[in-house]
Amino acid sequence: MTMTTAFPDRFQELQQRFLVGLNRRVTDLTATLSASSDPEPLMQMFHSLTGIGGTYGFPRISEISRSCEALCVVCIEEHRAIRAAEKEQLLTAVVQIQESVLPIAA
Amino acid sequence: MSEAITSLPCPTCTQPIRLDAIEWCHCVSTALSAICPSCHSCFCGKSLFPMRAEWQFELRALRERQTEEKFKRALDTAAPASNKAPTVLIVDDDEEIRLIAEYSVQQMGYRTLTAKNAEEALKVIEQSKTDIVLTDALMPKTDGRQLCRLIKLIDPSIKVIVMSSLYTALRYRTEALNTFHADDYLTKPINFDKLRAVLAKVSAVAA
Repeated sequence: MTMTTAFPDRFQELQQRFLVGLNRRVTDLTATLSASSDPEPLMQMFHSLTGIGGTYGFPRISEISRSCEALCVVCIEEHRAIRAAEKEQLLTAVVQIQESVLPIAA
Repeated sequence: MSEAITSLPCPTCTQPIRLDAIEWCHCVSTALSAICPSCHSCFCGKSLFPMRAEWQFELRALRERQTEEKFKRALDTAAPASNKAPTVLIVDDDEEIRLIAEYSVQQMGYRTLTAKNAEEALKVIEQSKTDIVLTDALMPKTDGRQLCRLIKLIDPSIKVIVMSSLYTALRYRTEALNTFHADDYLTKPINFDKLRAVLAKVSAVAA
């Protein structure tokens, strides 16, 4: 078995698996954002996406998630909840995350 | 049919930026951003208007193509693991990271073991010969940095590479290397060229 022949199938298989998981992550993020203003769980969720997006070949997911993670870190460091306007920003970012893979996921 | 885009003007100095030689900016930004080779400013925070909408799409598509090509290149020269190949234990609480890391490390010619947390990793080390540990830094309960410290107490010959998206910050790199005695660190998202280089480096030291 050589890498050149084995790679595309396995990589695409892993990517598809990631995309299915991404839908679940996006749903979880939206539900958490709707239910709570606690930055801690959101920071962890965005942190995880920052690491994983680019690893699977979707650097845009990492870029968006990194900025969301940074926003959550600011809230944690200031010992406060996420404000309504920040929540809106995060929700928009979550939509952008989903949209960033639409041409591939479709 | 639309003409292929080969360059775009810098929003600051208007000099053309060639897409085939583009450099990406790492500013914290929700916008995909490039660095102008002429004036060295990035697009971050700048309005892309009146740039054509296709450029935005082209930039994103280019970035994704580059990442995928880089990934393939990094794994293209892969060799199957021999019995003498070092064993790499991959520790991450995220299953998707474990899967892609396991696959890529195997393709780089190493044998692999996996664990989903530090406690499981310590059990694996006790039961199986482990040469290198590739661990996430932030994990529930015992995190990767503490795990690194524990491994060095158990067996200092095991090489530990700590990885995290935190390591874009200098203070965390210093902490990993000096406080937790990691042999090396990697940033997430995982760059597979770098992973290959770091594994080669630490296995050479281990040999």
